[in-house]
Amino acid sequence: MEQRVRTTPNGEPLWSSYIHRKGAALGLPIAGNFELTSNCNFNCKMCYVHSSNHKEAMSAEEWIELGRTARDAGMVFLLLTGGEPFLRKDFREIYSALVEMGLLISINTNASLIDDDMFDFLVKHPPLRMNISLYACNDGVYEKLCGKPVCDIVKHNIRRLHDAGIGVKINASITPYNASEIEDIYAFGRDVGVPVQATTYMFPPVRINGDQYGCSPARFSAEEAAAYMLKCREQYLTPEQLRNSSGIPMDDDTDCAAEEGEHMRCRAGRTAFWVTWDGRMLPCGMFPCEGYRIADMGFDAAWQAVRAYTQTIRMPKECVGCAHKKQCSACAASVIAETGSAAVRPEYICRMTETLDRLTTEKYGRSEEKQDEDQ
Amino acid sequence: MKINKEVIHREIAGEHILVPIGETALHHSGVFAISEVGAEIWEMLCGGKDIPEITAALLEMYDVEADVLAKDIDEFLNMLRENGLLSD
Repeated sequence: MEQRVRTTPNGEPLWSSYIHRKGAALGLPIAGNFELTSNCNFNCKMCYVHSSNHKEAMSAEEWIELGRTARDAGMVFLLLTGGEPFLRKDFREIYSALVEMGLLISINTNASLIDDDMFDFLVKHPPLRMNISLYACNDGVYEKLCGKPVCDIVKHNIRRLHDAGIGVKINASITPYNASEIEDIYAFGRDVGVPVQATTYMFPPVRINGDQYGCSPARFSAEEAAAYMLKCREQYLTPEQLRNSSGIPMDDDTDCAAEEGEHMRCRAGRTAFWVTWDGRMLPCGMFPCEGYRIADMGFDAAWQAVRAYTQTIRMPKECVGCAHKKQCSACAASVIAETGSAAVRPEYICRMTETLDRLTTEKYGRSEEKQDEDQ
Repeated sequence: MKINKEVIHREIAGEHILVPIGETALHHSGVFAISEVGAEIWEMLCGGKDIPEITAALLEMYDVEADVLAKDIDEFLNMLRENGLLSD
């Protein structure tokens, strides 16, 4: 009679990967994302959410009931996001109820609204992880990009949450407005002891721009995005590591990319779903589609519809045989946001990937392993 | 024996996990994946059963030698103690 016990933190990622694989085989919604609000106290130039004061479309009771239904269907992991989730006056009520369900909860936040009371609450009821956006290390840049000079508050909260034992990750969106901050953001992360995940790729905000695919007023050219991405990678990779990996995934979800002729391989619509602030289920939050209204269909039917929709998606044929296929992390959502179709070559992403590969090789050389892959 | 009340047992697709919540989660971020037998033991502990009662119940449920079972129960309880999920 075998007792199989694995403990975290070292074992948990292994179990997470395992349960996602098992969930995919069984069609279970293992990971949910709840967009608790469409409101944000920031007004970031590159974002699809902007400062607003909309009435919340879903009550605390509705989010809690949705959490219970999703948990009963298999949900283990839950990301609470927005907008800015701490803007909700009933955040504690929603969060506490979801924690009591045994869900492993992460929170996306800009950390500007975490006062002493909320800090104490989070320490008493710690989430699995807090993903905190840090856009700059000085107020001038913060105000230029986000409209709020709150750098010190955000840094203070990152430091004290980490020091209290809560898992924290810094998310850094790098745009032309804050490109000067890359080194300082990484230095701050090293000083505090928290990982930094930066990206210079900005999704076209098609959720607010309608069908203006590929249009993103607050992002770099593809070539600039590649150059600054290399600068980001230089903050935490050694020259040897850079030589061995000249491409760059646009996020750290390395199984997110898909291949031509195949279905999507990321978790969206396979074991993951996203619920918008007004109760529509999507494969992920970056999908510019209407989705499925849970109040009308019920959770299970909406999940099955999302799964079926995801199965219909195919990636561009041009990806076949592309020399940068292994280094490219274009996903279905990004390809649609760039082109209006998952099957059309996303020129911006292609140019960014090609340029990053070239710049990295020019500066750091090419490992024998990479040369073999080129053959 | 006293179980830590800040732990939730869940079953997902036949897999059993113990999820620490509250301040226990500060010390154990993530989950403890346990076997089906471990889940049985945990539930009996939650129900206030002592070791002889748990042992007797498991001998009824599983085709296992008593000394093997005793060793497995001991290992499981030690894991719970070491991680603050159970105290004497």
